[in-house]
Amino acid sequence: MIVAEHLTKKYGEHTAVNDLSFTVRPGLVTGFLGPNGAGKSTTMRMLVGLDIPTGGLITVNGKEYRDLPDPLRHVGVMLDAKAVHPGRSAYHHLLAVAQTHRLPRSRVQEVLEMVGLASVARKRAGGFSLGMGQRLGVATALLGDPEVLVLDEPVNGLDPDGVLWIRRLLSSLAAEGRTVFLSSHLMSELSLIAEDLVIIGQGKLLMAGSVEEFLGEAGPRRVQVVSPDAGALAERLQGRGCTITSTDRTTLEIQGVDAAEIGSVAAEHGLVLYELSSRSLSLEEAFMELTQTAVEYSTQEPAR
Amino acid sequence: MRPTSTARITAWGLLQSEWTKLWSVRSLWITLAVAFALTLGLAGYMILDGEMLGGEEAGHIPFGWTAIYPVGMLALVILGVLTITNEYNNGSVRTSMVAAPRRTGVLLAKAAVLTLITTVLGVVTSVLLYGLLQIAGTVPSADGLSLFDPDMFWGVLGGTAVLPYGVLFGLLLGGLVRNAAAAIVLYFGLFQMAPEILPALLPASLTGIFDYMPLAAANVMRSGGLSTEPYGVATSIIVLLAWLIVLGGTTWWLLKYRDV
Repeated sequence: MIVAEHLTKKYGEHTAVNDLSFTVRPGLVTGFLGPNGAGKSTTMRMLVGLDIPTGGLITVNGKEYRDLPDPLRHVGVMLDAKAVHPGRSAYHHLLAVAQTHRLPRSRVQEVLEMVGLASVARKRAGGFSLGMGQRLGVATALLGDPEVLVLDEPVNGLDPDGVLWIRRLLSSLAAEGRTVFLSSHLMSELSLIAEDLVIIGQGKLLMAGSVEEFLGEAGPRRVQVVSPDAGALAERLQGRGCTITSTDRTTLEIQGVDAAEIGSVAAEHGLVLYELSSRSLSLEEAFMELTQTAVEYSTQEPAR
Repeated sequence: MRPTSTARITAWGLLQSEWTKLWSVRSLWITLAVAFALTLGLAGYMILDGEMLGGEEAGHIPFGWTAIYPVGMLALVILGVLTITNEYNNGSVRTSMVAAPRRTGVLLAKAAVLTLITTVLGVVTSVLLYGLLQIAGTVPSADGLSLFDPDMFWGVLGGTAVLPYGVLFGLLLGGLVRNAAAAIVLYFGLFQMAPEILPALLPASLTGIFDYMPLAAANVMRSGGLSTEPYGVATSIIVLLAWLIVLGGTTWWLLKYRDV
């Protein structure tokens, strides 16, 4: 279990992470979401002791990472795939990491096979493609057979094959009962595997909870109505505490009342409906809605 | 097979890890090999040639060949610098620090591995060169002199010690600066050239401080007691250790408490 309590990191004047508190439940895949620059990497770096928090605390199973006598057996980390000496072979890179914890050499071979790098293990890591580098990063994270895996943007820059590979691997690791904590700025990527979400923007917590809770909180369902009498229907719905936007003369987007009520109102007043459909927000839309106010470097929308 | 339950960070494990790191990067072991090949080659040539070492002025110093050792030391300073700065340069330092988050052990293990290897190679180099000197017989004062004769031993020991000293100094300097080019420029500028250039520009009362720079102290140590100006061998060792402690302490503190 990963617990952040009032975690804060300041770089001079700039606050990268601001009073962040959340819990990553054991045995689940938790997506760590936020726009670029939201403080995801900084939080993960503090988790494994690379950055020292300005305030607050982040712990793994109740202990700070630095205080673990055998950190690699608790937490496997991939922060950036290129944390490798380009002149060193994949095998020796892994061996040097394994030796710090006195893990057996056979374990190096095992993880190399697990990620499909056994055939290039003796080649210099500098010649690896992005995808191979990513695999080596995952192999490093798996060395100590940890119960918690922390991955920062694992699919960034991967080709579709690589994305599929990571997705399958993470699913199988989660199925083994491991805790997976992975960051992304793409909701679409996480929505396929994450059960829990921690969403931050500008270093602050926006939401933490399960995917269902997130969708429930993100906003009411919308109803789309197509009617030749759109104007009249909109008038009849006034005063029911709903917001109505019309996209053209016949189409309405209605929030705040459900489809059944709209249908009843239309029937009551003899208004013709061509279409009456309700839909919930997709994860992507909900995420955009939640974070649009918390984007650090937003492009200026042209005035309408 | 799951890793054994005894797996944890140990001092021995960190030493093995640093040993692996050193030998698995070509540029590192080549620098190491060059340092000793250069020392052996140049000193060996001087011994066989005999003109400089066996001349009237130098001939009475039995261990004169160790005058070449500062050349090897310089190459080893570069090795020390590279060993740590290349980790910062390519980001692999983050892998190291995640594997050993308390960090201190990593620096100690690096220092221990480099010191051990350069000490062993340094001793082998000196013994080989001593043997060559006995065969060549080009230095009259060394003829038939045992390696363990005080006139020989202390000079050879002091000369040999500058080799591991160089690698340690480079490692700590590299850890302080975290950039290979900057550390090497700093070493050349501040420690190699400044003591030669600045005394001419500064008032005489200040030039005394250059006697306490590491290379000046190393020269006294190499003299094996023949040189007592401006201080003796014991003081030179204290000066050299003081540099390591100050540099090492600063580097350690920054490594421990700075974000990587």
